[in-house]
Amino acid sequence: MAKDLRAGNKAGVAMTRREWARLSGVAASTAVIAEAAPAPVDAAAQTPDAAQTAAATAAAPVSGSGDSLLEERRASRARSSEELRQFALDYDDEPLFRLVVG
Amino acid sequence: MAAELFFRSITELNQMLVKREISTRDLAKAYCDRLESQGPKLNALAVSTRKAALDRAKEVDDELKRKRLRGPLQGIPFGAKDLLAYPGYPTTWGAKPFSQQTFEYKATAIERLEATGALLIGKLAMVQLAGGGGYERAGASLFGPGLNPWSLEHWSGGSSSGSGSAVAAGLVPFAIGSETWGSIVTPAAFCGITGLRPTYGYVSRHGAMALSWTLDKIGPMCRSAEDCALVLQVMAGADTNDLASAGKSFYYGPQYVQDLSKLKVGYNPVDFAEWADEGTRPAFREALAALRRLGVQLEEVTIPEMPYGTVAGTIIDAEAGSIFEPLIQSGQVDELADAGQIAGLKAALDLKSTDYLRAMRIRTRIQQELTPLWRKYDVLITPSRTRTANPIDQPLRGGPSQSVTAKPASRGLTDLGAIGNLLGWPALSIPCGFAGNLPVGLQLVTRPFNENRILALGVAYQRETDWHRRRPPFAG
Repeated sequence: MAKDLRAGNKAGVAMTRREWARLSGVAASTAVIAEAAPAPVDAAAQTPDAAQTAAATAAAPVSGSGDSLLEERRASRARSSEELRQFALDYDDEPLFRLVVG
Repeated sequence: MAAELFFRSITELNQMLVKREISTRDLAKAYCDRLESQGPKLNALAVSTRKAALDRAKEVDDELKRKRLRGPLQGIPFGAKDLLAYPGYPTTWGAKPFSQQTFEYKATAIERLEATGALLIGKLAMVQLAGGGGYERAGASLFGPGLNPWSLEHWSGGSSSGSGSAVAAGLVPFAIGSETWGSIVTPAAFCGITGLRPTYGYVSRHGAMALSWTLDKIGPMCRSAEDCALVLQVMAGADTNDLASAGKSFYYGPQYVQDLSKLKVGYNPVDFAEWADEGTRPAFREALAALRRLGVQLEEVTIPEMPYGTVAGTIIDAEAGSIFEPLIQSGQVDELADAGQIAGLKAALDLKSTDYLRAMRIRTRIQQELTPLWRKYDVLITPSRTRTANPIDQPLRGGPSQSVTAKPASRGLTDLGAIGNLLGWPALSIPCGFAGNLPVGLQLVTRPFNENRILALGVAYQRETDWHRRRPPFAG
């Protein structure tokens, strides 16, 4: 788990071990993270709950046959998958098991 | 009965009952009549539970006669999103394939409310499967498109669509909604009511349809922040039937919250001045001014860019795909009322386990990066939605915002909805004005299990303003 080094970053939040590592060049992931940042999308165009899921990466189809919609959703899923792969992870990065930190 | 009765606060209604100015049965009957006659006009009613409510009302009246007082919800009618189980009545999840579904047990959230004397008078309409798969039109519901009491040509928001419109129109004093990503905050904002998405794990999901095990929350939708607090106080608490239960109780204690002048509120001007539709900006400017008048310290905040939306979307898709796999594999998914949702659910079955786990690993990084924000800020604020309710006949997404012609240089805190849901942070949406004839909402977010902080700020804001007291034309 990342240690809080209690130093400020540009976001005004405490610096984590990984952020410190990135900034200090220990892990060369800064550029990757910058590239992986989502292109600005119209947050207001998103619809609540599951409707928002694909909207984060692509404008959604509004009509079409079932087959074409399915292909578009699969393509959207593939783009999401690629975006996730662009985010650099370390071997010790674990899935979130402790869902809420108070 | 005078329409004014239907817009009284929970505390006011309870005092009327305690003082015997009206009987519990008469109050419940009046609300049942109103819900049954007006609810269908908004596509807000799934099924009336009049008989169960009136049977229980008689018992509550007997308790009140004996001065056996159970708290401010005693004798108060309410509605519940139709994804919560209630024996003797269908629980359709808003979807045709489940239109005949019934359960023999009661959702914990309803059970806890009834235990204090509150009366369920109706199950309320919702977007089918809480939007699982991704819906594209307001009509993605067994009950038709949720109509907004402020304009019947606009959507009520979803997926807790009936909960939002029924509260706004005074058909129920309060309602239960649920949120995985936006389903309380959005209808609250669109309908001009106050909605609270509690900390993940605070309110049991036992008896509620699952859309995403790691994101689903149950919360109150009311006409004021104080009413939300009173309802959460009853609904929150440990439940061994929900594996995600935090095992914590909530006590409404605004007196223990720090002085508002010491409250540090983080915001990003780009959310209000650039991402928000032009028509909503005056309302947001006035909302920020009102917060300043309350004495809070508003400070600009930025957050690191990370793929928040994609992470949230991947996790919801993966978990929903697993949950609804039998529906999808059986072919019954084709009975759903939205082609995009059908396609989305089918596509979810193709999602790789490595994608899901990668999203969950990035979620850890998001938690590590953003949890320290709470050392500097007490509350974060953004527009609940950057525009008003969608026209009912238009697609819900895919097009640019009406007046955001050039994309702002910074995302500001526009991802706070995704972030808050990913990290289980509580959010309160309060009405803060209008754009044209449609309501605009402000979202207050805080650290987990600190609901008192945003509720206290919401209560103070609602003493300073009267947006939450406005009544839609539909309400009469």
